[in-house]
Amino acid sequence: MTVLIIGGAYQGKKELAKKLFNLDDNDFIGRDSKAVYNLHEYIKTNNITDVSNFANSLKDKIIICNEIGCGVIPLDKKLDDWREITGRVCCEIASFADIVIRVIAGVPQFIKGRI
Amino acid sequence: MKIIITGGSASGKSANAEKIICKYAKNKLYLATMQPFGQAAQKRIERHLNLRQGKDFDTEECFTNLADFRPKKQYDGILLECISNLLANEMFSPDGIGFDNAINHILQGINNLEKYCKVLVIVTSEIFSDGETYPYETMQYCKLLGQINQILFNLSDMAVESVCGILLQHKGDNLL
Repeated sequence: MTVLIIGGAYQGKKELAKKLFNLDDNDFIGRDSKAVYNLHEYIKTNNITDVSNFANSLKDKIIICNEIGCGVIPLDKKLDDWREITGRVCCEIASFADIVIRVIAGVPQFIKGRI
Repeated sequence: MKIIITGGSASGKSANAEKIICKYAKNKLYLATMQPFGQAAQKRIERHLNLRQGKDFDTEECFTNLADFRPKKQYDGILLECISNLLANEMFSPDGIGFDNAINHILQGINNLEKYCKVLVIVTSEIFSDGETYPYETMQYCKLLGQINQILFNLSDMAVESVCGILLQHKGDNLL
């Protein structure tokens, strides 16, 4: 099962993921981990050339990513690209995810699927 | 009927706007507002062109003075993409009307477009949540876009937000 959890920074996304899917901190560690935390940070520091391939590599995981696209378009091209790729990756994951949750102040809104 | 769709960068707004208009209109016009300056704009325009391929849109451009725009014919649907570009053009480009009258000018433009179609789909942007402070001109731009979005949501029959490509209904019946 693929789950995408999005929301602004500091909204309790990780705590919610732990509670809903019985995860502990170890589940977020390592290449074959059950869950991925701060996907936007990973995208910032890694060169993603193929959005679709990258998104597919995250199938069957619980993925947590900040929403970073709702601001003024940055003048710095690198930051602009980062927002663009993060958005596209999230659209791609959401298209095949079983569940997509948007978290606001710790409260989950199920925008696709249900538990 | 007026439908407005908003969302952040790369949130799937365009793809969803096309899906909506294809559902309601056979004979349709894509009205582009992005001025093709710079590499980033070129890249975005190219992406949108690819997205529209095979969907049978007429395409025209209008960068400013939407109120004076005359489509070549009557359409079932017009997709206007997007208010954020149109506002930037009106505020900052040499042909624009300037800060003070930008909102009214664009609203007159929307009224004008409605005369030429049965369904008008309008794309706008969410740019309001980064908590940053920018120079005066940019802050004015954010403020005016916020204001015009409020007016357009109010005037629309249906208002939706695209989040990761998923449409969240904010106003009206689910028309999809």
